[in-house]
Amino acid sequence: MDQASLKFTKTHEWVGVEGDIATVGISDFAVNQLTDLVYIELPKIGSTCEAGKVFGEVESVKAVSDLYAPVSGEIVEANEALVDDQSPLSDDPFGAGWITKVKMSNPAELDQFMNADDYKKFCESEAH
Amino acid sequence: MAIDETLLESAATENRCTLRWYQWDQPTISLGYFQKNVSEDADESWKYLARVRRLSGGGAILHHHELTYSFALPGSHPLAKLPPELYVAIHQPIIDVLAAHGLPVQFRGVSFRSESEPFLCFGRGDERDLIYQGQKILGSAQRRRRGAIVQHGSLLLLTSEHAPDFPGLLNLTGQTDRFQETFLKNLTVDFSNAISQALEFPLESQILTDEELAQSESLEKEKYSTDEWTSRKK
Repeated sequence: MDQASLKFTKTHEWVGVEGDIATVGISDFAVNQLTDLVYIELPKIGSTCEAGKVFGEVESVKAVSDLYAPVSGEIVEANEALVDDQSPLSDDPFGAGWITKVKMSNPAELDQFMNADDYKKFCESEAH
Repeated sequence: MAIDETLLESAATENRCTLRWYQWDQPTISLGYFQKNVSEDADESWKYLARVRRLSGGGAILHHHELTYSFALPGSHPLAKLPPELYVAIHQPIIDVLAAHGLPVQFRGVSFRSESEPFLCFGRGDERDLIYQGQKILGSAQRRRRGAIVQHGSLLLLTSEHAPDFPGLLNLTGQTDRFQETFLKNLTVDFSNAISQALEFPLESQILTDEELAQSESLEKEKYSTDEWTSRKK
């Protein structure tokens, strides 16, 4: 996905929107912080998620981190390929590394997110 | 494990930083968060031991003649933004204290991973592990939640009869007679002071608050003692 069209959260998830479907992943900044990823648990298709709540988990070497749903809604797709091979998360975080697709129940939640430029500034402040 | 998760929550919600040392009342296997709990992974010598699933990643640990620590760090601490560096920040003071006690250990310095990682953590290799003459004697793992981190690790002091391939530090140094309560207490006090100084957080001896105790008991009953959690059938 074109990064310029994405929205970003302070917990480093990105969201791409087509209609009422939000494609969700984690940013390159998050992946770099997590270092080598070895496991991912994806949200289950058909389940619901709530903005700001845990909807998945990843393990980098010896460290497990929560993934937070940026938007509320129903999980309609999950990138099952990541279960066996997590390399797209680091090699192509905004493309093949997408994690899940959510049918949004409250698209107004998107209004609070950062655009790509603001997110870049946010990451710079986080790094210092 | 329930107390460690409670301390992580206290770090995340109360901004509380906690260092805890403990031992196990029976030899126990703790599984890494994503590890499968299957009998074919279990050697005869330890397949019947008690098991618990950790909140942190990595491989299984056979907790027996060791000291275990957990360190809960709130998101407001500068190191919380650099989680991998927390391993070094904790391990370096441990190196210094062990050296002062005549037990010279060092960082492994290199990592190795294989397609099929050994079931036991002490068979795996991370550059930040502590080793004595090539043998791993301490490894740590983390759980990160809402910016806070709990890191726990095991200092293998004596060889367990359940895992004879992994010698303890006191066996390796010919000092097994030092494994006594006074020595362990002195070590934990010295480790705590050194870690407190290195991470610049004030040290104050405390027991769990009533709320933390209640939360730990609830987590123990509803999560950590259940087969659903241990076998990760969710």
